[in-house]
Formats: sequence, C-alpha cells, structure tokens
Amino acid sequence: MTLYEKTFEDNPTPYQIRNLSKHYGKFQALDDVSFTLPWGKIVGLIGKNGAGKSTLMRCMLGFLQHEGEVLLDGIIQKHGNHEIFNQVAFIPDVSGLDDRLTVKQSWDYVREMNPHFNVERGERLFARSNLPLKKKVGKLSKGMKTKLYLLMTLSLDVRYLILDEPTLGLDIAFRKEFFNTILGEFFDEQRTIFISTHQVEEVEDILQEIIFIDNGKIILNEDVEQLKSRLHVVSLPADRRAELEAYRPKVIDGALGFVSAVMDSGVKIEGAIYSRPKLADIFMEYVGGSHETV
Amino acid sequence: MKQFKALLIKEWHTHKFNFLIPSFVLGAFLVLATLISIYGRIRYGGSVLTFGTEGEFNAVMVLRNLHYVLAAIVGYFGLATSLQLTDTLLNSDYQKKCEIMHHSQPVSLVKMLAAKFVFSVPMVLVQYLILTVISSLILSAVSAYFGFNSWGIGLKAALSPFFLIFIATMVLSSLVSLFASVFRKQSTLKLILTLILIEALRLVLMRVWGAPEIFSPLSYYVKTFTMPFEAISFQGAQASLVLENAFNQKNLISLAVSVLMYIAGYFFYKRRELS
Repeated sequence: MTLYEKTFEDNPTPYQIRNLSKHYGKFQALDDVSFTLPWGKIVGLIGKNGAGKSTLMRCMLGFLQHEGEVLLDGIIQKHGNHEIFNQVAFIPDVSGLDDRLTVKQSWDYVREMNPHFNVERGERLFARSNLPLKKKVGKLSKGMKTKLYLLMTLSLDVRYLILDEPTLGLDIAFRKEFFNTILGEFFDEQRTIFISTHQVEEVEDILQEIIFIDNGKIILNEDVEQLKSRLHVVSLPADRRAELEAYRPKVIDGALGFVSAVMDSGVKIEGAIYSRPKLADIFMEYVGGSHETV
Repeated sequence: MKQFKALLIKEWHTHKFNFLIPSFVLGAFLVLATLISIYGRIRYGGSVLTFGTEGEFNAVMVLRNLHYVLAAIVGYFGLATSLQLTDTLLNSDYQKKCEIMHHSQPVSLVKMLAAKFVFSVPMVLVQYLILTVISSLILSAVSAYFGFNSWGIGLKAALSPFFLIFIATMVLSSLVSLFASVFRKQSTLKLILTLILIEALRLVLMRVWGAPEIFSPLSYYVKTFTMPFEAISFQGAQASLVLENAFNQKNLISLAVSVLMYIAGYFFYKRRELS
C-alpha cells in the first residue's frame, strides 16, 4: 500500500481550509474562506488582480499568519510549519529562484533538501530540457527560470502542486509546454493541482473544479462540467438587448450585431441562440467588470 | 545531516566572497609585505637582526606582540566578516526575492538558522584560526631569516587572542542577529541608531535628572569590540594572562546573554511573514 492510498483511506478530504481570514492592517485580504481540495483534481482559482488569490495560497502554505484553519490530513497547519512541504510543492508567480546559484547548484540544493525527491524522474526531465548547468539562474530568461522551477518541482513526489500564476509573462508556446509537462509528468488520480491564473482560456479545458474569489471572498466553488451545464450563453440580435436586460445579467457583451449574456440554462428566449459558456464569461457574470481583468 | 550540509553548501555558494574577505586581506597584506621586503633588500641591502644577550627579553616581547597584533588584526577582519555575514545571511534571501524558494523546502527553521549561524560564526572563526597559524608561521619564518627563532612563542602568542575574538564575535553577532531578525532592511543602521538613542537617553537621565549610574550598552559593546587589543597590555600579551582574562565572570555572562539573544532572534524570525 502506497503512502497516498493509506492516507486516502484515512482521510478522504485531506486539504481543508476553514474560515480563513487575513488582514493587512485595516484591509481585509481574505474573508472567512472555506473549501476543500479534493483528491486527484485540477482546481482553478480565478479572481481579479488583488482579489486575494496569492494571499490565499500563501496562507495555505503557512507563509502568512492568519485567522481560521488550514488542515492537511486532519492536522492543523500553523504559520511556518515546514512539514507541509513533504506533501505540497509550490511555484510562485514571480520566478522566486535564487539568482546567485547556478542551475546545477539549484538542482542539487532542492534534491538534497527534499527526502521525496525522485532522482530518476528528475534526471529524465532534466536530460530532456536544454537548461545550461553552469549558468547562473540570474542570467537565465524568464522562461528558462520557470522551466527550471517547474522541473525541480515536478521531481518531487508530493500530493499537491500549488501554482500561483506560474506562466505570468511567458510566451504562448512556453505556456502550452508548461501545462503539457504538468499534465504529463505530475497529474494522476492521486494528486491534486491547485492553480491560479488570469489566462483562463488556456486552462479552461484542463480544469475540473473552479473557485471564484472576489474581494477576499469565495463566491463560487463548483465542478466545471456541472457549472457549464447549469448555465448557458444566450445571444440575441443587438436590437433585442432589452429582452436580455430583463433578466438583469451583470454583463452583456456585444459583438457583430449581437448581444449576449450568461444565464441560467432554464432561461429560454424565443429566437435566441444558445451556446456553452466559457469560464471567463461565467466569471464575469458572477463578479462583473470587464473581460480584461480576468 | 544531509539537509544541513545542503544548507551550508548553499550559503557557501551564495556568500563565499564575503566569507573569504579575511583570507583576501591577509593574502594582500602578505603580498604587500613581501614586495616591501624585496624592495628594501634591493634598495638597502640585507641585514641580520642581532639582539644580543641584553636585548633578548625585549626581542621576545616585541615578537610576541607582533604575532599577537597580526593575529588580532586578522581576527578583527574575521569579526567584521562574521557580523556582516550574520546580517546578510538572515536577510539576503528576502532582498534577492528568493525567500519563498528557500522556505518552500521541508526543512525546519531551527536547522535553517543553525546553518546560517554555523556559517557566519564558527566557520569564520575556523578560517580565522587557520589564517592565524599561517600568518604566524610566515612571521616566524621571516624572523628566523633575520636570525631570531620565534616559532614556539610566536604561535602561542598568535593563538592567544582567539578566545577574546570568539567572545567578541559571539556577543556582537548575537546583537546583530537579533536586529537582523527583527528588521529586514538596514538592520545594522537601526542597531547603531538604537544604541546611540539609548546612550543619549542615559546621558539625559543622568545629567539632567541626576539619575544614578545607568548601564551603557554602547560602551559595553565598544569595550567588547576593543577587548582583544586591550589584552595586549597583559605583559606582552602572555597567553596565560590573556586566557585568564577571556574567561572571567563578566565575559561568561556576556556569552550567556549572547545565547539568549540568538534564541530571541529565532522567535522574531519565526514570526516573519513571507510576502
């Protein structure tokens, strides 16, 4: 019996966040946040800039002091508890690597520090990459830095991978490679990926559960398929805008002579065109604002 | 142990230049001294020191003090390096924006801070000891060349300030460590300002309000800093007297306080949040 199976039987909901709140002075960054990260799922955390995504992830990892509880395998994780990193790996939004070390020194450091470092997998991943061993991390491009961080992280035998806007500032080709590598090398039914990103479109097809966060509050936490079947996009010619407005949607988009809005799938309007909603559209319907913020 | 070794190696990779400053300084000093000697020999010709029977005692004292002073100077560079490393090691990960990477490893904070302490204090002191022995041997070789054998007394004198340097390093680095744990930026400046402020308050209380004699942290730390050089007055820096002075009750209390300051620093550091 593997470590994962044993723990799964003992605790089917191992990573729980209960009533988490975080204040920076008078500013409330997180407000009574509660949810559970399920086993073997890819969960997306979507929110506008400053909604509390990074703060939430940092609280989950014990980087920040907070009110409420973070539980891993039923054990409360306090601020600064290093044990959490035996089961959780994290890639932050900024590179975060130590620019003073070379690629090899960084690699050796992470390998020696982590009892769960899978040397075989690590060497295989590293051999496939074209990372220059002797080069200082500070001299690498943003893409190379992210690749190094990713490969080091994927070499760890952990159950949770937490990614905070990991592809920020990277080109499309690299972003695609990034997600393909994660799916190919990390994800299985025993492991969970929790990812925050504003590039909703590129993770749309891989997300299985979604959490919307706004002003430090969780406003939606649902299975993606269930959510998409519960809602649909209703499109009407632009001159029939009033019929859409009657349902008071938060956002009405207009393009090519049509207006559209995300509505409950029970809403039927004669002559309307119905389509499956995108996560960005759903997010806007829940949060409001412009598409540029997602 | 594997993790601890990895932490030390990481500190070495990221701070080796700062760590080796005493070696660079001594190396530069020796090169300069050699060049001056060669120049002197070419310019003025060779001469052999002759102390004679009457000058024997003075020569012993001069050489002993010379070894002591050279060792103490190397020791001060070691002390300065240790203080600088203590501050840098605690805050450079934050300043270089890689704090999250290092704190995302499954390693306890105690182990992490212990590695930083070992690198910035004991390892610097070991380097200092090695440099002291090397410098003493070179000095003895030079004095032997000039006709006076000082190998034994030289080494003894050179090693004698070690404990004073050790105490000064522990006391001062614990204070720097405490401030570096509390303040992420400009902690040394804040430390100096705090000591000056306390001194000013002390003087105001004593001179204006006539308060009785109040302990002065500033003069205490200045005295601790100059302690290794003050010891030279002990009859030509005799090792036994220096040692006796090093482990007096006052210094032992200072050592105990420094340990408490390190522990306090740990708790302040532990409370830090990673942004």
